[in-house]
Amino acid sequence: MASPKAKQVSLFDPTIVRQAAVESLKKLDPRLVARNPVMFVVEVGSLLTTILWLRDRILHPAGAAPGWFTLTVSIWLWFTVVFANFAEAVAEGRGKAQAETLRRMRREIKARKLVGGREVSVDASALRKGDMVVVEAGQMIPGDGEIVEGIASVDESAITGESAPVIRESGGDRSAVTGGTKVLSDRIVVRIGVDPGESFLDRMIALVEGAARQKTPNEIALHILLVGLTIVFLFACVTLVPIARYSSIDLSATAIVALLVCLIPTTIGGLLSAIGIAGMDRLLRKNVLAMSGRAVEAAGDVDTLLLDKTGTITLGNRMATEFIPSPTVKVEDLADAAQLASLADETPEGRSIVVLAKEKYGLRGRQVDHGEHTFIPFTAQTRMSGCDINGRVIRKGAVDAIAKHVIALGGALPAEVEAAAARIGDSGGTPLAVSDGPRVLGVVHLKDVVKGGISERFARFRAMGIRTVMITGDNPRTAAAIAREAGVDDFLAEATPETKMRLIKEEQAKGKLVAMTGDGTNDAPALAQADVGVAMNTGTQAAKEAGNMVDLDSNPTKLLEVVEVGKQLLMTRGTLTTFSIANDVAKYFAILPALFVAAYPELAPLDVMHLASPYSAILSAVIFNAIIIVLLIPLALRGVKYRPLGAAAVLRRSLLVYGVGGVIAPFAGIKLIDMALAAARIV
Amino acid sequence: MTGGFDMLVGRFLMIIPALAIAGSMIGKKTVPAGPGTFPTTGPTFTGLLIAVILVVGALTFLPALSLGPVLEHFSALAGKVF
Repeated sequence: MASPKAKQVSLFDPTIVRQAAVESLKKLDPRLVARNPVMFVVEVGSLLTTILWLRDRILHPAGAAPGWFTLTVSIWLWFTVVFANFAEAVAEGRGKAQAETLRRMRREIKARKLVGGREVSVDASALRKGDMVVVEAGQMIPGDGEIVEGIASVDESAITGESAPVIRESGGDRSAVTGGTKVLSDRIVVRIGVDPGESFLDRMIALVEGAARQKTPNEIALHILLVGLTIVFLFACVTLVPIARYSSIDLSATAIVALLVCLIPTTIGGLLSAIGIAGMDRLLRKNVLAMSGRAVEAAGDVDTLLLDKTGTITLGNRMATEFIPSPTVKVEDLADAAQLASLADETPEGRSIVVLAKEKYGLRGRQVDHGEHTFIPFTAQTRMSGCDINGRVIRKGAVDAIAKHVIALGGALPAEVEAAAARIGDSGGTPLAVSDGPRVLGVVHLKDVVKGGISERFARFRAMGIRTVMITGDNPRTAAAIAREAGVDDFLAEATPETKMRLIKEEQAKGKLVAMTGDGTNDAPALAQADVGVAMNTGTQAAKEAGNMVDLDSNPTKLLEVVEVGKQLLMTRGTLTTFSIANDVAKYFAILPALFVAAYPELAPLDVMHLASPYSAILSAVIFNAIIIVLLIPLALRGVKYRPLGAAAVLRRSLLVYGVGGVIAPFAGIKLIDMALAAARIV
Repeated sequence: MTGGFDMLVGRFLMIIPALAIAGSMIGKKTVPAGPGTFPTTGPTFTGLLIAVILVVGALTFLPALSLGPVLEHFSALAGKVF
């Protein structure tokens, strides 16, 4: 089955473009356009000019603008609305293509419902919250829920795109299963957690299709600004008619509508919703499902990132990095004993010891079948493990546990070993002592390995003004050492769900926006409290419901990318708004002289562009206004190039490119269109 | 009479949204400044503010002005006075 991740939709996929073209005409419905006041004004304007053209055709009133002019202006005004619709439709279409893949796997699944201890075959769609179903190897899980009995390996590639099966078992944090995923082995009993139509898959489809989309607070604020500007320009254009009449110029309604449409911020008004959808789409491409556009926006404004140490900052498992022998012991002997003690140890720490001994001292993992040997597993009481082989009693474990062990056998812990252990602890590592009989051979340095490149990443965040806080259950000393190595700004040691929650509330009380990741049920309150809560897909249902994003790859480092996408979204919106308004300057210089020069030739110096004729000037401005929307669709969908700089530097750059560029570009654009029109002898 | 009314409206009606903005500001929390905050001191902000005022102002009044003072200016240059 093709996973949604594998499907990389190109920016202008032919099928999407075709569908979007049809969709953009359907979206001309005034009830839909009315949701976007700026485009609604344009649509009313196009309707008005179309009616004017029809009236002129039938009544031929004296002094009317030429018919071809009114017609072409109204056609291009309609195009302006259609192009804006097209932008939105393309953005939605990309989501729809992904939803289609998801929907394919929601085909009817038969469920084996447990009714009074007996199995009854029912349709998956008939399952209700609380129903119990049996799923066996090779069958699809009929709905979202929780395993109440059994353990199974599950293929979740349909949702996550990750082909490796995951283990799901009853109890604990790994009990959640998702409808539409496939059980590969064993038998489980699942308690269905949602009613039909509310499942994760349903919500995912609704989200990517844009059906569940609502305007975000930022979008609403920008809309208010755009509507305000539209009203101002409406007044400016309407009052121009009587003012011009006083100067004995009769302005045609078509010209005034054209002027109005060119002035109101149609570029950003038309692209606004496309930018928002594209932001969620970009996240989805990174396999992060945002539950709302609001969450994406909040991610862009985040001030504090709470990052779990394990998995995000460190590789997750402690690794042996060094053998430090006792004064009288050769390092090879220590390595050899440590390896023997770890041969049966399947924990990542144990395996790393075997690997290190092999790599550093050429000691192969041996077959220990010959001779008498017993492996001693780790227990919480002894806090040691090891093996008894050929009369040797080899143990490894926490330093104090080994000390107790050797003292009981008549040995002692050398001061040098104790000092080495303290040094390791100070550097953020964990010392592991190794003993052979009553002799302590030395310590193994187990280290939390910080992920490569992570400190550079944090430095970039610092430059953007984002504070990173590491959350860990380690003691403060260890935490401080790792925090220093990773380059985080702060850390919370010995963290519990309560202290985590308190930290979030404290940050928020200071007026900051907080983002965090979590997967366990005990993370749920904090995920809900944080402004951006990214739940891991492997996490519990409670965690997934509390957060406002779900990371399908369950990769906590993704939080950093989420923030970048959010920032990019906000910047794209800002730059296009600047561009849209800066464009107006040139349009004035095109249209105003065109309106007045005929009556007052003295105004000719205002006509800096020397356009072919007044009609061509107005028409060129209207055409430019429509075409620029199409030209900016790729930028709106892809987002502006993102640079991790401080706010002031980013702003200065954007102003230079999109502000100054926005003033200059239309002069060139309008002149070019005018020349093309003149060359084609249209005007 | 209508002129007086317009002046009243122009002067005082605009105060209502301004007060509304001020009102909503009261409810907001103060966020400490950091490197992610846009500094409101310095040339970038000054330039931006001036540019926004000029552009939005010009966009609003240019059409009317071009038929008034601007036209008069060019006419006077051409030796034509009203």
